[in-house]
Amino acid sequence: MKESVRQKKRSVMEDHAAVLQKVTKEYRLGNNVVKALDGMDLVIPSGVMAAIIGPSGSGKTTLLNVLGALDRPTSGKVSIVGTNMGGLSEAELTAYRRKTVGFVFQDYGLIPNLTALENVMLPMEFARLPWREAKERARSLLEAVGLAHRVAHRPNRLSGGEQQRVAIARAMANDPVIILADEPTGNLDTKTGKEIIELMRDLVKERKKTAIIVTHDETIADNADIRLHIQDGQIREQT
Amino acid sequence: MMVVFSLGVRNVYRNGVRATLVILVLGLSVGLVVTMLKTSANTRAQAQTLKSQIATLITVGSAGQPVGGSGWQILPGEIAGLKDLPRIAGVERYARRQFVDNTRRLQASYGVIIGVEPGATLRLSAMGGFVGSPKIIEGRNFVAEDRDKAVAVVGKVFADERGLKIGSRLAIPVAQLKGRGFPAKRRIKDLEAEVIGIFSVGVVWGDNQLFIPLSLAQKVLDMGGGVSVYYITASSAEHVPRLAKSLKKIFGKVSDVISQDAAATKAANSMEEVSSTSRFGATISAGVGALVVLFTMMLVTRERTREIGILKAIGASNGNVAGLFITETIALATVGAVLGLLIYAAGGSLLANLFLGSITEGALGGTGFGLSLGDMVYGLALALLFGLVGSLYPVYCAVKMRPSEAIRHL
Repeated sequence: MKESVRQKKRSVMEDHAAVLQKVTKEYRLGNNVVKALDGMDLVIPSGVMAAIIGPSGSGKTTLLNVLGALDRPTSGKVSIVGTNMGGLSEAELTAYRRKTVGFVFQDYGLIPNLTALENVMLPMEFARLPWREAKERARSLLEAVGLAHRVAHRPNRLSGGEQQRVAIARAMANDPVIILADEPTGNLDTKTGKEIIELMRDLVKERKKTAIIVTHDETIADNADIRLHIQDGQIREQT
Repeated sequence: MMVVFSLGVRNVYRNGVRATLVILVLGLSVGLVVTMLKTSANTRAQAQTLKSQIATLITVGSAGQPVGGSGWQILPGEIAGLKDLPRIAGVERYARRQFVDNTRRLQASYGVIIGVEPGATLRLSAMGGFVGSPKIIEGRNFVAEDRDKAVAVVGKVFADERGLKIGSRLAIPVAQLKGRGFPAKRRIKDLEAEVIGIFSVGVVWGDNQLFIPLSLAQKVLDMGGGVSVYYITASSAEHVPRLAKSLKKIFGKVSDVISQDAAATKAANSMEEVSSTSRFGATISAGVGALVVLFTMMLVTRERTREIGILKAIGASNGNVAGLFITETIALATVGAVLGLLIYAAGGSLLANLFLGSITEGALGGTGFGLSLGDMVYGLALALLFGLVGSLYPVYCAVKMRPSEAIRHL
């Protein structure tokens, strides 16, 4: 009886991209302790585009860091595609960042002295993919984001929108399950921002990924499958 | 890992001005270390040579005539037993005669004619100490064919005083060769010879002497096959006291037997001091090199904190991050090493004299500063060592950085 309950629970966990149970994250600022996440419970199903909105300092980026294994929670349980993150070693967390998640940053986070192609190849090199294979895959990803003609350009020769497309291609490099994007349109004009979100939505649907996007932009949130409103380190509203 | 390697190399030139300055300092540091260590090795080798050459040397001169310029002589019969003595590595025969030219300025009026066998060491007549080893600055030394020729290798002062050049004829009249105490029965002649070489030791007393073939000296000074002084080289420094004792026992009545091991030890010790100073200089230069890399890589790590965070976020392991910085350091150090070796090859001798000054003069003689394969490997290894030592702490900091904190860094 107990075993069947356990199996049911495991199955629920695996069906979801991310499950957070009573997760807290505290930071020490001098003598003060700041709770960035305050006992957060959250479930994000697989294959959706989820938008996390909320005011500055509400804990959005901290949540993204915890989901991306850039930070460990102070307490609580984080489960990503059925894996309990609390039990992973540093090396396993690195492997998780390399294989399971892909990051997209507001300022693109591209390496300035590498070409677009080399930037996309980088995560694959970290994953020890053979060079030729990595190059082919990077080309095809850049083609998918509409940058086949810009592969040899360095970031400073690309527009903001193009740089973010390279960043999205890089995030997809190792075929991750989840794409985590922190204000991906924050540095872009409205039109380009819309194009980027549409691109992300298309890629997520086409490649059956889960996207979790932190944003201030209400229009992005309106177009997401799930909208999570976060305040004071807790989910206030989920629609 | 092609892209990672390429990124490490390309990172060197992300800040061109800084990279150039660091490479310059690193190059100078490597050049100095190689120069100093080479100087140290050279002087140590010279000290060993000096010890083995002079410490094994025993002078057998005519009794009561330490300078050997008075005209007194040791005749072959008087020292006939010499060849039967054990522990002798070599015997060199010298004829000497002092001359006085009162027409010259006082400092250049006294000089010595020295007869040597071609191929023998040119040993100056010392008065009050070792005057140095003659260095030919023009023309050539004697060769075997000069044995019976009227040729001379003269000191710079002697040549300058008389306006002598290579090929000039010199003449020292009998009047200048005769003097107080000279055996009256000997029929000496005017010395006439062609100048084939000019030497210098930088000392007026040494540079107012001249060398001629022994046979010519014996003829001019009417020595009848005799010599003024024998330089006897013992087979090793340890044998000197026993050999000197044997020589005194056999030839004590006609000759003064003097061993020079104490003087040689003193000279060799000075050279060893130069060697130690060079090693100290090398240590300081090496420290500066490593510090330059340390500060540069610390700065680089600080500047690229966010980038390190992003690399970790996209899956870079600690090994990847360390590899990136180490590749950059190795690239930086390799360029620094090439520059350092060029500095050493082009100006090693100049640098040694600049930093060690007159103490290396003569001792180094400008030799031993050629660039060999060994030097290249050594220079490169040295630069890599600076690089690795200097980047150890910055790499540790980069590896230990928490990705979430690094990404927040602006």
